[in-house]
Amino acid sequence: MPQVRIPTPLRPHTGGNDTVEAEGATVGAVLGQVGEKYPALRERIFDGAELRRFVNVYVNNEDIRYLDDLDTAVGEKDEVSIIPAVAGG
Amino acid sequence: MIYLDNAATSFPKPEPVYQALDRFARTSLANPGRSGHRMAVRSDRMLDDGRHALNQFFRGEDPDRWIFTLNCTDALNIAIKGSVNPGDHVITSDLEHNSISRPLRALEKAGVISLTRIASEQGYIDPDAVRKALTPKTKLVALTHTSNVLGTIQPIEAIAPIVREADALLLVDAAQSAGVVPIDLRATPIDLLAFPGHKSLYGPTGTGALYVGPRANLRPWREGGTGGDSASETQPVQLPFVLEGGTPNVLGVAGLVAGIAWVSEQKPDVLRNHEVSLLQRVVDWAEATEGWKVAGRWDAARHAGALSLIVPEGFHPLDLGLALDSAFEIAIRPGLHCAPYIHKALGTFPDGTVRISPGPFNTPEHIETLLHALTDITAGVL
Amino acid sequence: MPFDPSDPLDRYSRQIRFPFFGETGQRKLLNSRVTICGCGALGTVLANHLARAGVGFLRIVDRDFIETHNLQRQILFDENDVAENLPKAEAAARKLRQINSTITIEPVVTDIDHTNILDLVADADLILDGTDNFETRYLINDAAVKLNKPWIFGGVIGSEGQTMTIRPGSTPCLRCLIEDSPPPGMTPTCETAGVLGPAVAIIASFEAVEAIKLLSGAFDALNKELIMVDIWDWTFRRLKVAGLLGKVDCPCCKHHKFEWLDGALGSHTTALCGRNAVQVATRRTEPLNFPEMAARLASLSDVRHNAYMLRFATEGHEFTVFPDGRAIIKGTNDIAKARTLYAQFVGN
Repeated sequence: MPQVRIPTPLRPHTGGNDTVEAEGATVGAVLGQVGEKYPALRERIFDGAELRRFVNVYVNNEDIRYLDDLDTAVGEKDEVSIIPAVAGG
Repeated sequence: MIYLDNAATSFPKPEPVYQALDRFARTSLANPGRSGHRMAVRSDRMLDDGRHALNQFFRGEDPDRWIFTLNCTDALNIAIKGSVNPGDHVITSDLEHNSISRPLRALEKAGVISLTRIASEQGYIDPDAVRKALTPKTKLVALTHTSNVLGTIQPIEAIAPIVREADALLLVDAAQSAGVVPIDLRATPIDLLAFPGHKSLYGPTGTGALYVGPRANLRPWREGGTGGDSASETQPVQLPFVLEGGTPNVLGVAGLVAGIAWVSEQKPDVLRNHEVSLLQRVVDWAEATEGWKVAGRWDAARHAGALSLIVPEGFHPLDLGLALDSAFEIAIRPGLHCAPYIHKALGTFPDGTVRISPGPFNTPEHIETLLHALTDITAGVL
Repeated sequence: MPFDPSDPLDRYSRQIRFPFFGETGQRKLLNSRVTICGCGALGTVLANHLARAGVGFLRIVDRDFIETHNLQRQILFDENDVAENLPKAEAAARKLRQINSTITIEPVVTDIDHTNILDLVADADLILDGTDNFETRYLINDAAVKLNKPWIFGGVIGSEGQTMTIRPGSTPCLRCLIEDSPPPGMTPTCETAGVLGPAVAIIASFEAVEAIKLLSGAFDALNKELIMVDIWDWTFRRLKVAGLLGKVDCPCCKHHKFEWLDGALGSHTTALCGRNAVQVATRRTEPLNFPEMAARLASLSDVRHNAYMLRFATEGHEFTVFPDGRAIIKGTNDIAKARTLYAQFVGN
């Protein structure tokens, strides 16, 4: 099953898990399933059906915006990462 | 937006004011007098119209006794700094706006004048307190006509003869009253009357006026071009030019003239009654609602369209003001309203109060929305 | 041994011996001008590296004064600086002049905003990000794209950080990467989530080495990806972002709409009548999530909220935050200080 990596700031919404497994053939399907399991996480990364503009999603180190966005295909061994904007410094 | 901050500046303006501003800006906006061509003459005539309109509205001695200023603060500064001399005594009150308090306090600190600040009671100045404060050295009595914090109307008709009798000058700050509380300069001996054009006279910001009565002889503190008499090496001595150096805000005056015409047509008393009846609902609500208090004594017959509410313990007026704006799009004025002394007297310093000031275009529904919003905002956060 | 002015390059001999740098690189560095925006944790490490490496002119811009809790990670400051209540830019300049008296250091104590950013970076060959908020970063990005200057983004929180080298026209810009800033209260800040000194030092060091490459002309060696490091998890990732250039419909680098620089986006502050208080306003349409903000601030303070306001107090300041992102910060009349507090505790 594809793995979804959860960044530290969002882990409170996944019960502390740094990775979550979810079924699905596309990034959208995988994140949809994760969002069903963790509604608070869904709210943080989605605005309606769209990804929030300050959250980026990568499949194996590639930004989905230059793959097929949420329709990007994912396989069994792929890793989906949610990359939040890091403010501090 | 529900705009309940008319004591800061009125909004919206009556439609004829917008039309006058637009028309004048497009057709006649030249430098008055100075050039002599037909547009300059039209522009000059606008200033003249303005002086006549003010003189008729307030029943002054002569149109040329009306000086156009940047705002009320400018008018008050011209009056205060142009009239006092070293060693003079000045009387003022704790109801004053900083536009009176600050110049007077600065003159006092600099050792130029001595200053007596009489205390109001429940928002009202007792004419007897003025009488008691007068000394042979008293040159100027500078008082507000209507408190900008409380909306309370001062008994200026009773105070003016007392000051006249003592041979001092009376400066009245009519920022909150000009246009809603009748002022008759023939009946009430006021020497200097200052007000903004952009509040209850419905002109644009950047307008104000100072009436200079025959007993007042003011030194100019802004000297410069006056449109005529250019050969003179110093400021010409005749009114209004002596106090009007620099190109005046003719466009603003065009709006102000339209505003005064509108107010004359509506009648100041009718406008005041409308605002006070809206505030009566707020007073009833505050008296029936735990934690809220009306600042000063509520007397509908002696009140203009501003009211301060003391907020429930644990709340800051600033927070409530911003919550009203952010969640309900209601504009009020929280804080000290540039009048720290009265807040100290009320015990509302430094947080201040929530001031509600309706205008002619507000409705009872606006007030109901405000009161519901205040109820909601203060629920549960403590 | 005291510094010998007869051989000005001697002090840099160890880096000159590094074959990809050499004397040519050093001379280019000495002729370079850099503006470092922000002199906190990232900024002090950046300034330290670049002053020692011999960047000829360093402008250090920061609005804040040093506080004790800065010393844990802001390496140019010490307890004396706190006692003297020095501005960060000034204290950094004093320290850096002791480190390298042969270069020019220009401290600027100011709040970077859309009115002054162009002046602060116009004569710089490179702009470095030492800020702690996205508002200033988007301003830097707009200015850099408009003036066609490179800049290096860096951000750190907790044990993780990100950095990316941005060369307008050759790489994606910050708005290609992150289209919109996170709304206030939506992301953790160093003040709410904490930060480890070494994490900042690592990201700033990545930025510094990229600066040295850029200024010495080693463009081929530059990082073209988004670097992400987490020093707690031992993860190091290079996320491929180079392809975003032109792929994203970027308002900034594609359409040259500089919304932050024009002042159309970004915050606005007003000192308020009646109290030692400043209102900070941001332009936002989406309401803030108060329960989440309250949870994030819970470790700092007692947080109370209803649907209309959220209140908390920390470090001597009272905050009231409203759903549209505006806040009243009490306990200061200083607009720059209020903007700092907003960035630290509400976030933008």
